Amino acid sequence: MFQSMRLPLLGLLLAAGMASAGEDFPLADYQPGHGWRVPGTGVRLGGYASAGFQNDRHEPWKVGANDLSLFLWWEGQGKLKLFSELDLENALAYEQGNGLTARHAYLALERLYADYLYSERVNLRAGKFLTPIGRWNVIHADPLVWTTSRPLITEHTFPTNATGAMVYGTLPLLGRDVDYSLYTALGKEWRPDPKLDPFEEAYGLHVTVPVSAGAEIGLSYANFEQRSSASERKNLLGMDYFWSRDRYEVSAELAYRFSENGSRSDEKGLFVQGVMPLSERWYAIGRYELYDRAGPSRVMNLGVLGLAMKLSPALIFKAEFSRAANNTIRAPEGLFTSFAILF
Amino acid sequence: MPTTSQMRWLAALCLSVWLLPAFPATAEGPIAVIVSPSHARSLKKDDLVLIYKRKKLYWADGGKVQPVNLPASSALRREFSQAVLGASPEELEKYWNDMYFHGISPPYVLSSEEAVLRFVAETPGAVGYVPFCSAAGRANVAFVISPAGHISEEVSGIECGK
Repeated sequence: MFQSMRLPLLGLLLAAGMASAGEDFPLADYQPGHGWRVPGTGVRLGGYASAGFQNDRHEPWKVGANDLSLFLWWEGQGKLKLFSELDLENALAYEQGNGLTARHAYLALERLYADYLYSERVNLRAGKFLTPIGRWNVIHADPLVWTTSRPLITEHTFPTNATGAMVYGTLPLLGRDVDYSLYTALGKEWRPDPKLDPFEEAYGLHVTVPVSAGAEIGLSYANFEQRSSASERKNLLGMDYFWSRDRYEVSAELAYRFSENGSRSDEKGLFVQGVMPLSERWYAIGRYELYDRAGPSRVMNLGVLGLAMKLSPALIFKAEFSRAANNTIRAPEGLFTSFAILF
Repeated sequence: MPTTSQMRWLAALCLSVWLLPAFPATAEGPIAVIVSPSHARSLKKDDLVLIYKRKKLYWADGGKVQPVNLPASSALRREFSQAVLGASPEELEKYWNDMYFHGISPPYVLSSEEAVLRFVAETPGAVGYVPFCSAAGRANVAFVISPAGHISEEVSGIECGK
């Protein structure tokens, strides 16, 4: 089961074990959401977990563990950094009609990469990383987002992970600090999730520009082929927006994917999400999404209304109700709740 | 039905709660941004944001930048955060959660101004902030943040009482 990731993981653990950072930071106490540093080393452990109840109208209801994700990273006094994330998905659930089951369990290699942190302007990354398209995909962990369900355009229009190389950093441009990532995916994906259609080859760019206090706009471009349709070269243009002030938030993403195969292969969509504080801990969330899948199906509309309770910066409880029109892909619809923690 | 008197009391209570300061009182006087002796001339004003957002991790000579913060409840921390990062520590919680997801930790927190002074004096590459008058004669002051939030390299002309 772990054949394809045994070597890279072994390398990471060996490197982490051999190197002693010799840091003399005065504080090394554990704090939820900050991870735990193994004393006397540059190794840090952390992660997140989420569990919840799902009453999807297309499936039997279930309650169980959604994610148990472990981060392991190492950073010494030099410029090299190693990072890994293993995610045990759907480890255990109680399903209507099936009882207690672990048949959906899957151990995913989400990320495994080495960074060479040359400077704030230029850093190099090699390995498996999250595809920098839009904003949601690169911060998709349950404790970091406001809803249990995920907007369709953030995972259906492109492969969410890439194995390859990346150059990234922050550049001063017209008086603003512009974040960029320029990446390529070449060769075989490391431990590809069998549910997903990975990159066969890809290159792309994402930039984020602060536009005002608390607001930023991101632009994405990617050119890629996927394993299931390696002869079809796809282009994706995307835009993302995020604004926050006084605990209010507005975020939006737009994606338009096209290829040489004509407009029937085009896929496009957008979502807009708003978050409003109701009290010190409670928030109301609303999201509207429009998704036009490749092929002859009609445009899908999906609405989500939810509540979230932030128990601490690292702990969140979420409950939401979603309904869709023209849901030909059986995207999750119904009542969803989850409890998520960063540890 | 509440009486007129009760309604007045209720209104007064609501008003007083609304007027209560949400956070501790502000720090008094200017803030000094201090830097370790080894990098006294290396810190640029534009670097402060990148350093305290942990985007700039190294000095030009390759040494590690080691920024330190005061606790989130500190009035000095709040003023520094607003002046340099344009947001309060609470408003930056989401930013740090997102950064944690990428294996980036926020600056270390030291419990007192004295601890910051000592840490910066003894740690190569360290950056911190303390009340200007605490830093005078004890640390390399790179910038001064005025009570209005203005960041300046001009440190002369600021008087400290005894």
